[in-house]
Amino acid sequence: MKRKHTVLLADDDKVQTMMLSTQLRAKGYSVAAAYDATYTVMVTMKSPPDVIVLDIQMPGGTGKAALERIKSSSKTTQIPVIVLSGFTDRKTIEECMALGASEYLTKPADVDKLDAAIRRVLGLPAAEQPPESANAESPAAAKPPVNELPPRDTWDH
Amino acid sequence: MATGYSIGDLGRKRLFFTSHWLDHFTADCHAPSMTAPPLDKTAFLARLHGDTELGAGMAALFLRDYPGQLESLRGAVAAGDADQIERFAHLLSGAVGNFAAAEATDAAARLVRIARSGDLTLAADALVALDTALQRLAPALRNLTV
Repeated sequence: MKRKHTVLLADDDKVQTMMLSTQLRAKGYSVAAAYDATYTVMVTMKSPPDVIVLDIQMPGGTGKAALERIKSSSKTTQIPVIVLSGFTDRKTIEECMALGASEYLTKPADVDKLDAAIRRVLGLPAAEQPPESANAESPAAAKPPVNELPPRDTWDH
Repeated sequence: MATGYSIGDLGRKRLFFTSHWLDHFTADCHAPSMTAPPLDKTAFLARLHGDTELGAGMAALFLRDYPGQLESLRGAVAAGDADQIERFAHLLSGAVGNFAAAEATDAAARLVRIARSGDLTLAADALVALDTALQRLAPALRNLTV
C-alpha cells in the first residue's frame, strides 16, 4: 500500500489548522499539528515528518527560530519547510528563505496552493484537478480531530 | 479640536477629522461599513469547497477561543506591550481572515501595524474598532454553527 506523506502543520491559529488538516487529509496526506514553536522543534526531532508547514509567529519562541533549529540539525535539515504566514513584506520573506525555507505562502491559506507547494517540495507530480463534486465529498471520512503529533510509527501509512 | 472621538465611533458616526487626525488616520484606517456583512459567507465556503460541516467546526472553534485571545490583547494594550499586541493581533487577524471577514481582519491587521511601528498611541482606539468588528462577526459565525 502506498505510504501517505506526513505533513506537520505548525501554527497557533487552530481555526486554520482545523481547516487545512481536514482538507489535506482529504487529499491523502497524514497530518499532525503543533501549536507552538518549541513543540514544533521537539516533534520534528522525535518523529520527522515529510514536510513542515510553518507559521513564523507562534508562542514558545518564534517560527523563525524553529526554522533555524530545524535547518541547523543534521537530523532534520533535509525536511522541506513551507512557511505559511500573514506577513507579506519582502524582508520577512527573504529572511525565511535565507534560513532555509523551501517555499513561502501567504495567508489566508488556500489548500490547493498549499498542496501544489507540498508536491513541489516533495518532488511529487502535480495533482489532477478532481471534478467539482469530488472536492466537496467525504469530509467526514477525512475528519479525525486535529491531534498533536503521535509517534511516527503510528502514523497512518 | 477633534478629540473626544474614538475609532470605535467610526462605525456609528460619520466623522470629520481635522488636519493632523486626518493625516494620521487616512494612512492607516478606514471606517468599517455598517452595510457590509461581517463575513463573506460565499467566499468562505468556496475556500472550503462547500464543506459546511467544516465551516461550522471552524466557527465553533473560533467562538470558543477568541474571547481569551481578545482578553490577552486587551491586557497587552493596557500594559503597552508592543510584542504581545502584535502577537495576539496577528493571531486574531489570521483567524478571522479564514472566514473572509474583511472588517475584523482589517481591524486586527491595523493593530499589528501599530504594534510593529512601536507607537502605541492609537492602540486603544484600534482595539475598540476590533472589538466592535468581532461583536458584529460573532453572531454571523454562530449562524454557521446551527
